[in-house]
Amino acid sequence: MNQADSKPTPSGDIDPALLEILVCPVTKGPLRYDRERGELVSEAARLAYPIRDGIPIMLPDEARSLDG
Amino acid sequence: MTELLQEARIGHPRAALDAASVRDAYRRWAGVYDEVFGAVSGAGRRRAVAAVNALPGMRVLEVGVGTGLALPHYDPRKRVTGIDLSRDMLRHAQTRIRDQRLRNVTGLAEMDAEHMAFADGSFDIAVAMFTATVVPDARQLYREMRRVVRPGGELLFVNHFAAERGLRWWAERTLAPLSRVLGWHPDFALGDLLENVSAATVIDPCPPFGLFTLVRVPNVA
Repeated sequence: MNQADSKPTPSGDIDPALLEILVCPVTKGPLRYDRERGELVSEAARLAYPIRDGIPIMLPDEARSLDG
Repeated sequence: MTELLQEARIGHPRAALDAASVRDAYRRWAGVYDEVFGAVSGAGRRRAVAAVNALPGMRVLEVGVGTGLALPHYDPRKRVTGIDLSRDMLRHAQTRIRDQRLRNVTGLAEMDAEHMAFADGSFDIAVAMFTATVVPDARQLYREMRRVVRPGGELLFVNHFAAERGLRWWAERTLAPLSRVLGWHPDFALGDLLENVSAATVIDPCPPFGLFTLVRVPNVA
């Protein structure tokens, strides 16, 4: 998890306390916060979950596949 | 994931409502939801939030937060996270949080309550109001709530549980058309949620007519 700073992101800000407890809903494994893209990345599931207007969309069906 | 969901549906007799149809119903109802649903369910919601506020834990998960009708009523010291499957509802909730400056709401997330994206033991308390009847598999909801709440924490439910006779039975019959529109199962029983009904320590009927029941289940390890 990246450190939160005050710079606004296009996806909207997420509370660090929320980021801390979020895991991949498929693997229940850790997520990497990609601030640039506004995504939460699960390397194990090869999925990137989008954050829209500060709300993470933690649904595999709506996630971007990392394998194209 | 989809296979898991399908398996869950096949394995459960009440798997009538899939995620998409639940979402669709809420999309259509998001605009008037607060007036229609808020009025009917207000007492049950207040009772549940009061029960949450009386418990010692600070980390609270509201499963099926909807438009955030309950959010302003939590003790400001509670740190509340809300999840829902309906994006439209969550937007309403977000507006409410902003307008009422609810600083104790940690965040909102769009999630399937049967497959939550929270680490084990992330919360002290999880509360699901009027949610158990709209998920495809209530027992899977219960298992997930047990997983994300720490051992020794508490699970709370407010729901309509079917009555067999009396005034409540009459009220249920009268309100049946409304309950169907809102996606409740009029015949949903406590045993559809809890594998072991005697695990509940508090079973408290709420007005009007005791139509809704507050159920509290300690999360034993």
